[in-house]
Amino acid sequence: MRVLIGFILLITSCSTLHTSNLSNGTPLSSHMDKGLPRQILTLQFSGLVNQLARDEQAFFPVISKVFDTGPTGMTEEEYKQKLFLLNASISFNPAYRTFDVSIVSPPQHFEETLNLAFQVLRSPKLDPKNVTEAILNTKSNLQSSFSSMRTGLMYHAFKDYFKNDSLSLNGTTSPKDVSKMNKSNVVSLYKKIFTLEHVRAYSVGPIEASSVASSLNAMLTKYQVPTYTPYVFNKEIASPSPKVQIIHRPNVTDHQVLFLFHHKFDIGGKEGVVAQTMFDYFGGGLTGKLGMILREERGLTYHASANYGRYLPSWYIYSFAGSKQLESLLKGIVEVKKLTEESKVTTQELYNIKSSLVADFKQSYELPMDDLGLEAYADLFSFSVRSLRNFPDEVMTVSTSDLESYKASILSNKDFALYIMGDKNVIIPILQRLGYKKVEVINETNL
Amino acid sequence: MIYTLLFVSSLIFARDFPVELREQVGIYHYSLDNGLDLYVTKNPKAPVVSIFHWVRAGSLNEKKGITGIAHLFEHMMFRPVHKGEKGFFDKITALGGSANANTRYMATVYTTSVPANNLEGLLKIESDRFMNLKVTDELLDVERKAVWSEYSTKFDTNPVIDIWGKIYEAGFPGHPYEWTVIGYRQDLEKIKAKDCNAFFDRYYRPNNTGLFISGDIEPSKVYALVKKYYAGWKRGEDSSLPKEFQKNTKFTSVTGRIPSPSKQVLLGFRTKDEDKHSLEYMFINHLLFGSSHSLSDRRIKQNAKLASAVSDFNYDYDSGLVKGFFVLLPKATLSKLTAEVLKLKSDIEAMDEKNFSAYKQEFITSLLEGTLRNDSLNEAIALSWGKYKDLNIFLDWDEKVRALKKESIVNLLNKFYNKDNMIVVTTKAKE
Repeated sequence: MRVLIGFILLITSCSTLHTSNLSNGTPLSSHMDKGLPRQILTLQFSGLVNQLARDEQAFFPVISKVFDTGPTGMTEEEYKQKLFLLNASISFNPAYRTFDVSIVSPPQHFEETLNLAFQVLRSPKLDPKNVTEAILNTKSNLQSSFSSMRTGLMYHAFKDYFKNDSLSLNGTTSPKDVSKMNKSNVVSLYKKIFTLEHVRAYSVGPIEASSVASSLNAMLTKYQVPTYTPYVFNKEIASPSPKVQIIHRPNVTDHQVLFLFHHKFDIGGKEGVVAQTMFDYFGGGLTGKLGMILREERGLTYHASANYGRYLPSWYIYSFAGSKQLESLLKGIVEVKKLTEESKVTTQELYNIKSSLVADFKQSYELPMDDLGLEAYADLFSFSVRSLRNFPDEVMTVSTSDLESYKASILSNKDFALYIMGDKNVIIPILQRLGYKKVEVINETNL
Repeated sequence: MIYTLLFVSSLIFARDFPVELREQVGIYHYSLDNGLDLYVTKNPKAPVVSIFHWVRAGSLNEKKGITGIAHLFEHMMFRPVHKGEKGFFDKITALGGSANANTRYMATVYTTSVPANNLEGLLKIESDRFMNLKVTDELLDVERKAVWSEYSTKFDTNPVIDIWGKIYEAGFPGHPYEWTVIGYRQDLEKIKAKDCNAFFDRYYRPNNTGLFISGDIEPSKVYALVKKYYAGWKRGEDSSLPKEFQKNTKFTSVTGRIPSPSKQVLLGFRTKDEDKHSLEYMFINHLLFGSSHSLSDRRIKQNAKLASAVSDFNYDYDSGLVKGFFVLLPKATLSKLTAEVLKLKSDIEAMDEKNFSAYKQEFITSLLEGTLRNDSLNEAIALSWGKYKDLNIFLDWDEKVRALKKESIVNLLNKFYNKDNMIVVTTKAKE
């Protein structure tokens, strides 16, 4: 209904953060944000993806598909129609160190939607027909997403580099590994790991924190959710293996390139701030050294970037090129890395980078839900959320000498893994000319 | 000077969202004498200022033999304006900002953001490139290679992007929709600096441009700055779009070029009178393909079990087609899929008021949630002006969507939703 003096609600001026423990000890962080039309609740199943090996990770997209069909006692059509009429959604997302269940609902239907979500989690449709369909659908969707070479490269490289360590797993899988799922192991894995005991809760929206807590407590009782225990992650991840590996897809004319380096970043500390500054200087899109030289000056690629790993102790350089430009690109990346290592950063350059980073941060954390995401990330990785939130102030303290000594230490690292996805018949001769001696080749179909 | 204060309509629906209002936001419209349309949104909570330049110059303004020039020129807009100076990315970084752009069928859109205290600096460098850029063959040759890389990684290796290009090629023979935004390979090689400069001269004019600025800013001050820097931009010939594709059509089915292990299908219907029915088309797209409870999802994925995934495809970005994307399951056939898709119209005809209202509510929610951020709010305003040619779509979307009648949707479907007007492209099977 249009009114004469109209309003658009963008962001509330009143957003408050409450933290508390639910009746079973589950930590709940709740932002009230009357600017959101619907309440958002994320249940973070800490460590769930880490309980299965790499070739079992297919369980997570499959069980997500099973969950999507609703609980027992309700057909898929009935379940989806119910959600539709509630204007609500329930979705499932595996990620590094977690399996997230996201519940979005208008406030007046929040409890009903929450109840549905717990029904699904506790009593999914694990009959053979439904599980078989879920496996089939998962495989089909994966084949579609793996048609993008970048997907295949990113899926494989980090896991392989860290030797399939559990911390390198994130619930993603390949078409080949989905074939290892069947009617019985999906059921047995579900029973084994979906115990709901390591769940954290994050909520944002127009409902007051106490009401959110009250609704959740009612569910914990009704669905007999066990006492919360924090999931203890391994402190150390397997040491990576420097190597050169081609992931072969025949007859393509474009090749994806990923250099991976090992380094454990103190993301929540001062290092994290200096690292972001350094990577923006070196590989920040079109304004970093990589983009400026490889794309803007030499026209070798549409994209070249570098950044530190948010989830794994690593940093990377990523780019791609056609067959004719690949050799120059590979050479160029090494040159630019060296050049950046040795270059002098001016005060103006540093100021520009810092200003841009601050503006980016402010945009990235514009809404209370963004801050809640930051908190969830910090909790999973044991970073200080306070430090992360303080980034705009901290980054302004980075000096040119901080940046120069830091980039010299990071960029001087010559131990790396190089993964290239493309046609091996094009890539192998190039790598030989560039002096890479030992090159592994795997077929894309074996991922 | 035309000055209009527009208030954005209330999004309170006490029945559905008991939301408290916190801020009053206004959208201010100005027109400069040279025809530049300026929309300033005062948003005190914005973290930075968002600026959109929407230029009515896209691939639909190209001619055969020189396709891809709109896109190639877009790339050149980030190069130095004057000899010896830095490129646009360097300049904007110095202001603590960021920039991007994309070329579409009907427009090229430049997006930038800066802290509010650097807005004047940004408008200075923006107006400079929009008024004074001169392309040289030397820089064009370097940029052409980057576009080759874009071509190569997208169109030569990605089967989904390949079929996106194919659906237009198959659906609009002899019309500018036929070629993709990136153009034909052979044309890319031929484009010279003088062609780019001629394109710039013809289309990059204030009367072909909408400027959208949203942030913690004072509209009158922004207007004064825009006048200061853009008033000297000379009006030119109005841009115009080609006539709607008129040829008699029959059902078209083609295969893509890039092999894919799974059968992926892009299926579309050419729109009729898209300009006159913008909101209806948006809603139809939502009903058929875009909603997570879309009619396609229900009929084709859930019931007929023909697909593992169903979605819409680039609707806001593209024009000319209402299209859906399907990842087919192994036993599904194209004939079954097309038959089921055609039945979606009867699903709408048979829909009761309760469900129709629920779709409308869902659509309103998605528009509302999609404009919570300052830059997405600014984009929605720009899109309403640029693509939908009706700012009231944005201003009154709740009211307008609620007023939609099933009969008007069905009447529109009767104009374009039939087999003869359908184009289907399937990815090539992998051997």
